[in-house]
Amino acid sequence: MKHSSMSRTPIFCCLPALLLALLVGACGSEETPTNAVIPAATDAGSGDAATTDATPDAEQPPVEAGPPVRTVETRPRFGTLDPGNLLLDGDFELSGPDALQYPWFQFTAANVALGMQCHSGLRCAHLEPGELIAGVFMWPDGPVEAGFYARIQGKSCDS
Amino acid sequence: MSFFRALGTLTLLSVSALAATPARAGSFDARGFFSFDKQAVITESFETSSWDGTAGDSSAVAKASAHALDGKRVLSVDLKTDGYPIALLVPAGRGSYRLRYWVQGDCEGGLAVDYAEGTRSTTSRAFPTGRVTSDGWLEMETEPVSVDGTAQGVNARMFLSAYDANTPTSVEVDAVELVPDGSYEGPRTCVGLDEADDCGPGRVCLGGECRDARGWYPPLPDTAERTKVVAYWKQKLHDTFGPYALRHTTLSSAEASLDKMSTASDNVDFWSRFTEAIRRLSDAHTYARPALSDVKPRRPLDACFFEGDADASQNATPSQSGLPDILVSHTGPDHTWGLKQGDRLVAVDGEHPLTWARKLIGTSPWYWEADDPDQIANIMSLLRDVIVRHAKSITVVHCDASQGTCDDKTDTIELSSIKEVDAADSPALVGCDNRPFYEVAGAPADHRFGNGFYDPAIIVEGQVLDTTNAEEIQGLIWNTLLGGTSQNDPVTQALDSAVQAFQQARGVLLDHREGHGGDAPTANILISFARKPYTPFIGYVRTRANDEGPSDAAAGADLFNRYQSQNDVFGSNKAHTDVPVALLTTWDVSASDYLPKIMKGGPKVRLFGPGPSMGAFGTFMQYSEWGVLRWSIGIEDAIAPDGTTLCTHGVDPDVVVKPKQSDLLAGRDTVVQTALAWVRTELP
Repeated sequence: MKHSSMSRTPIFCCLPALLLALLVGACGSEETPTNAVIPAATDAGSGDAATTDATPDAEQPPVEAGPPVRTVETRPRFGTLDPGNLLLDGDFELSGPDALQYPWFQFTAANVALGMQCHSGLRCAHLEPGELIAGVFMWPDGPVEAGFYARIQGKSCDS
Repeated sequence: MSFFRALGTLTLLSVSALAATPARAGSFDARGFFSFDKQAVITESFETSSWDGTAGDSSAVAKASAHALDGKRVLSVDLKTDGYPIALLVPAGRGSYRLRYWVQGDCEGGLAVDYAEGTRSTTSRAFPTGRVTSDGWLEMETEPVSVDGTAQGVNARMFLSAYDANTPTSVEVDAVELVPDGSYEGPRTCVGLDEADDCGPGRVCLGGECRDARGWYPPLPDTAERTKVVAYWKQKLHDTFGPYALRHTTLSSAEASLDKMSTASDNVDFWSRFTEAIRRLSDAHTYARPALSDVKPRRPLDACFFEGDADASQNATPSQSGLPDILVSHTGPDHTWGLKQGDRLVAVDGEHPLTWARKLIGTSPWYWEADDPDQIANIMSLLRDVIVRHAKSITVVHCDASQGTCDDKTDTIELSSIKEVDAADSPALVGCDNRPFYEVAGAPADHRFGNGFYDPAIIVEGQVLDTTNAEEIQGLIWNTLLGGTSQNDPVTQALDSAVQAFQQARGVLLDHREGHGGDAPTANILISFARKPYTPFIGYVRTRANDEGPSDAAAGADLFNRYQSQNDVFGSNKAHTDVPVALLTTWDVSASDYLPKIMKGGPKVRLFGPGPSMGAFGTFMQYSEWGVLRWSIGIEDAIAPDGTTLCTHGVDPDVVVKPKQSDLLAGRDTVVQTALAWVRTELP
């Protein structure tokens, strides 16, 4: 049995260098931009209109006062679905690591992050220091702007 | 599914109530405390160690957790190659229910129900509801499932399984609830493709029975999301679909199918139109797979078909002009419907089988097409799968191998006359490898050679049977080129070993009549034996949204010249160009397109087969909607030195040879015999 891993030779053919969007789990360089990655949940989507359950269900009995134990949000379950996002799967919603090859290279089951920790939708990427994933996108006629949301987990980039 | 085997060893979830009101869901109070839906008929939060258990190599333990949604424990599940079932004791009446649960971790799950009598079963895959919590929970739910609690031996269970059986996964589950939703619908019969729409919304006719298909697809997006899904995938198909010729011929048809999604009224209709769009691109790298793996045919057919020459049954019915003769290549031991090797398939539902099958492109998830329209071996290989699911009858000519003769009339077999089998007893079918016989010893009796990814590959090498030691003719039978660049890969090692054996051979016969592709370095192991170095084409992955390919051959040639230095050089200066190499092809895709493409034209290479390879020169990207729906899109084409693009142009054999019915009845392999005869004439 073989493992699905994007470190393998591309299946059926050689895939030319189109790894045009790189996310690298590292920091410490003076040239690191402010939104560089990091052990983090990253997501290249443009953000969702997540709904936070701020009020109790009308049928719920009165509750005792006290600090909240958790909050609840409702996210779009099909992701942001922005046709203008040139990445093949900028939301990470469709890159389930259950196939031979998918739009994020070096992305394994260990990189999958889920739920509220993601900026948009329900799936995003978690990178440990030094880890790299690469996404595929289509060049438009003009220049491109690349951006993503990321946050650091832990006290520093090295932890 | 292996996780069903452990059923019965687990504690049953208990019935807490029975109701028939519309479903809601568990809710949270202002502080975030969870409460089950009051209408739920089953609730469970795994508060006792009675939930500890194993199922195959997967296991679960109820453990204390500070973030338990309900109570103080959660069920922690380690998923390996086997899934994990959680039995559900459903109410005694008939009802329709939706399963909901909360999970931390990434795995597939859902609700499955079957019965002691074995012929009815339903599976519904779970999909996120969109609700998430700040402490990491994700809510999943299935589509509604009708459950007959009055039937004998109701076997209802929630199941969990790893996305990739090769990658163990750990998840936590809590707050499971089974909630009434909708009305119970019992079994109904239907005919063929259900043109009369007897099954109604959310159901499809398979094997003469209306099956609830809602759980095989993702949910229906809300109205606003539907529009966004359609717009998104129209853009993505336009941007990413790679084969240039098909962009001009099939892309518009696919877009029209996407447009039909906007008016869909249920999730089956909506996502069926999506899978139709994918199929209509007619590219072998481009296909969609709903969660149908659990849907076993009630009347399995353990026989394989291929294109041949029906020379022994022209008295029964003559060949049809422009359409292939279709023969039974081989069968398994049981469930053959009375068919035997050498029999002829004349019609399905009164039409030529190829004509009948091609109509399935709009409806059947089991149907897909190769790039080259003249490549029909793929449809031949699909026949047994689509017949058992969609046909009403087949018409055949029976033959007698002991006499070497065929009947002088046809026989029509109604599918309804075939005995149904228990879904749990569904047999493992023989592989359809287009090899009626084997020319090298040691080949598997079940014709399954594995694809090297989901199944270990079997690669058979040795002296060709019925040749002399003095002739020194070596043969190789294999299906996969998925070896990669690692010298430790078993496929790479086996092919390297075969080529080592070829060094002493005076002739070689390569039997790749079922070629699943793989990667270029692995194909080159064999190419390097027969060809000097050269660059046969350049791969051209689609990277620009406005790229419609070279405007003409000259522009294509310019591209080839510009990029050939960046592409693979195939072949070797150590090639044995004096040794005759016969390459047998029939069902060959992708890297298995590459192999004959690059071998063809070698000084001592000749290709034998009934028709072209699939003509899918490139690679693909795959997508998954939470494992409920998966699809793949071809993103690459190839450009030859003369500037032509290669996708849709399968590799034609040098010698077109089709298995003769008379040879099958006599125990002879027409293709092997023809190839071997040529090799013998060319021995150095």
